[in-house]
Amino acid sequence: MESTNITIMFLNWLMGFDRKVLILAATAIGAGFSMIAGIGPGIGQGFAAGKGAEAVANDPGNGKQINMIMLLGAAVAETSGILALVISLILLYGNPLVKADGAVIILMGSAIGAGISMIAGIGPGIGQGYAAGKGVEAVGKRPEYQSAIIRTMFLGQAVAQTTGIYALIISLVLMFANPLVGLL
Amino acid sequence: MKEGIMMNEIKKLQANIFKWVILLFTISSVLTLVFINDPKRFIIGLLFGTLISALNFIELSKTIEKAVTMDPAKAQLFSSLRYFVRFIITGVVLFVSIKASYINVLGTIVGLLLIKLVILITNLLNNKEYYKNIFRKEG
Repeated sequence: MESTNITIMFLNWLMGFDRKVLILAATAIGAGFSMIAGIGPGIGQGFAAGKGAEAVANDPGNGKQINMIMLLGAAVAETSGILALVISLILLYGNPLVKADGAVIILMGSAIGAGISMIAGIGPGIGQGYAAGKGVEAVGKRPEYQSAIIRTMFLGQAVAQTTGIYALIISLVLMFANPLVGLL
Repeated sequence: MKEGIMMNEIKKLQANIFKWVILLFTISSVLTLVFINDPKRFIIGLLFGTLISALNFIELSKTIEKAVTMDPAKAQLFSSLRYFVRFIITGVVLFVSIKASYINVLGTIVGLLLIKLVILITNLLNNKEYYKNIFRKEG
């Protein structure tokens, strides 16, 4: 009966491999997952650029302010992409889990989890780009309130970044100070 | 004429941001000299990261200057593609920092994020009225 259960069959097959091989394979999956977060800033910056082009088309006289706000907003929106790259490359070149003690399945799960955690970076990337786009739109309509709009936009972007930072922290905890290994 | 003024304003903004970046770079280098055992590797990483992020920032500004003159749908695609180019550049920089033994990758990461920090600091913490409003009693 047991041998027909596909999950158990899979786990049995998995445990047939060497410990290090399993952790390295899980690390590879994690590194790949982490890079998904790179999509976020791409979408966000694209949105901001679209809004910028729209705003300039509506009122070419405001080009200067629109350019400035977009430049600053888009630069901040890139942050989550950099963080995702950092985690992915740590997983590939300096994964501490490879040498860690503990049950192999927990270490595998942690390596994959560290990568999956970074997918949260899509959120801040899109959100910050959206904020930049809306900031540009607002300055296009009301250029006299530029400084207030910039401040509000950055405040929003800074707050939007926090979830990305939480993801980074969880990812680093899973790799460098994994509490789950000690629970066994 | 108008085009010229527009360029100047953006150049001024960039110069201001780079001034801050250099200031923060100097502060973090001094802190490194005091608190870290092997400061040379960290400072090389910091310099590497800072320079690349400054170049990326200039590239971003060129992308935006071009994108705003395009059709909105085209601008969206164009700046997304350019973002992925910068993303790959950042990836290569981090890869090189990890591989090269004379660069501390943590320094590079800090250097790459320095410019974002500067943008947030110069735009959020530069208004004294803001602090006055926080401490002002209600009513």
